[in-house]
Amino acid sequence: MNGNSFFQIYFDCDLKSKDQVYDFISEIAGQHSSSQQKLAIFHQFKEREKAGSPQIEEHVLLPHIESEHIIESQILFFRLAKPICWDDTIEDIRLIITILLKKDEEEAIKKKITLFTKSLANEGYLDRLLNIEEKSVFHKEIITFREESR
Amino acid sequence: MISKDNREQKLLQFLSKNQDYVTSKDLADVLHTSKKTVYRLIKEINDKCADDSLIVSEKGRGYKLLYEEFINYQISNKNYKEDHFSPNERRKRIMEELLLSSPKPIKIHHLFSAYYVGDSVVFNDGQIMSEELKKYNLVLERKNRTLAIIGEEVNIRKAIKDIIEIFNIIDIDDLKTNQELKFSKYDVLFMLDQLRNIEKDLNITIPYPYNVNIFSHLYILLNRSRKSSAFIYTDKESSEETEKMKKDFNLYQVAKSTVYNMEKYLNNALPEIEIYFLYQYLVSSRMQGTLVTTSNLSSRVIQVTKLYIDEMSTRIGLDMDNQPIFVDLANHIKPMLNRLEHKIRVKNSLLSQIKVTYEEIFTSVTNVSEFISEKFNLPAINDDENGFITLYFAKMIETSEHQRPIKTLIMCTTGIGTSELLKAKASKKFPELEIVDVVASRNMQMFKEKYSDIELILSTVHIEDNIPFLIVSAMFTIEDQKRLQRKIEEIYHER
Repeated sequence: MNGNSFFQIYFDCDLKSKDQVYDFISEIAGQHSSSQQKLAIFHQFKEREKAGSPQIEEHVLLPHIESEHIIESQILFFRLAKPICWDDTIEDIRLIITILLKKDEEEAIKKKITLFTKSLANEGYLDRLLNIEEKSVFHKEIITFREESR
Repeated sequence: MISKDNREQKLLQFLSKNQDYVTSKDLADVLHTSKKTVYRLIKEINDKCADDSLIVSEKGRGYKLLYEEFINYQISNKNYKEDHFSPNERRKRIMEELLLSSPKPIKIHHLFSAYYVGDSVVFNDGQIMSEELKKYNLVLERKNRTLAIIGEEVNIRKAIKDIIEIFNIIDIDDLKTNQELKFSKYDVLFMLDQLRNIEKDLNITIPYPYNVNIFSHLYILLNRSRKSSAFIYTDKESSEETEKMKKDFNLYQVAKSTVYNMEKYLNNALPEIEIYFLYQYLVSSRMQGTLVTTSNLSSRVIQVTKLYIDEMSTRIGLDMDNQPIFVDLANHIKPMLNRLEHKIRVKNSLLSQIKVTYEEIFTSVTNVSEFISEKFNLPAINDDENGFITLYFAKMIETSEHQRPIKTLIMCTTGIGTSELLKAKASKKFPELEIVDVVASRNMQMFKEKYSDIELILSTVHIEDNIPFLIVSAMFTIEDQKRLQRKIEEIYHER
């Protein structure tokens, strides 16, 4: 884990189902909140999926919510230890990138997130994130992005 | 009930229009037949092509045409004649021989011996050919076990041109080496030489299909003169027309010297009117390198061209003012009017392809053409011509520089997650879109006010609104892209 930094990377992650993933995310997002708030985040993710699939590429999901229960905006990376089946239609998921957006977040942070999501459209970037075998290299890849975006 | 050949054609056309799989039920509906027949048709088509299947099937998805194989199949299907002739082909070949020799009679035995058919078939073929020839005001005369075609020279040549299919498919560059064609090599070289001289003397290039058209004309002239040196032109050009031709000094000289070369090659004199005839072909051809500007177009050409553009812009909903299309199209219309007047038909070998690819434009052009020929008192404008005109408008749409971009909002729940990703992907693939903003779905009302002229919302989440919107997955799959392409076309169309 990387403390409270904006980007957090969970490498070789042992999550096995959608519920487990969302539960885990809501724990991080609501670190300093009540369990009720954590539950609210959990449900918000589930609701978001009803509106549209979070899948952005083969093997990759990008679930994202904006919520008043989120105290600090963050981007979380989960590189799963084993590919998981997400639901009836989405399977073989290996990388989950989660965007947690604080309600009424300041523009500068929003911009930073926007810049990041845009970079996901670059050819090869997601491929690299999917296939890097070392956590440190993965880290570097994200940091490189962060530095470029400064 | 449509015939089998027709159904095959229709099936192939329908499949070629759909890039993806089509279910047998859909195919059955289109062809008004049963699924079983569809299955049988497809099997027959696949059996016919020697090497690979043309149509592949996948369980649960249906049938799909392998486009590349299809194109190859179309080409090879036209180029290679089998030794065995269908009744239709037999009649065509016999008719060709008769036409080229007209008015000389040919023995029936000589005509039919190669096909091993009985008297009743000969009689029947005669009936059918008579019917066909009526369209050209020609008569099939049967006398003393011979057949002969009688009629005016102009009509005979027109019939030859239509009936000899080879003119639809020849490629000028390919002529010298193509073994499949039954042209004599010397003739081909001689005629290509003539074409080259014409181009050189006029300092122009004659593009396809006009070069093929002139080639065909020379070919027919050559063979008519050989097979029946007795052919006579009964129709005479009016002295007024001749005067007009002589004023067009350059073209007249070229026509004259080409006919002179033909006479030398044939070692036979040709009637004076051949010069006029060839001249008409030259005037009716589009020539590159002498692009006329509006200043030397007749007012009639300008009016017809303008009317085409005006009518087409209302029909296909495009603003074509100040477009380079005017000069382009006028340069086509000018020789076209001449072709119509002198009944010169340029075969459009791309016609069926054009009809499939630009179905809508073609239909509009056909309607406009009807309207125009009525208004300007022109002979009916045929499908070959309509096909060419279609290409001018299609080209303009495809290049689409004139199209104002579609103002688009991109939306997701937060306005910074998948929507940003989508924006990056969509703007890369669809330059037609002007993405004005990326927004969160809950703010939609606000943004609708801010951007009142929005034409499309691209969203990864469902929205309820009357603005055209398209839900796409954040993956922006090929399927999504196709749907977006269709939506863009819809919007362009509605404009």
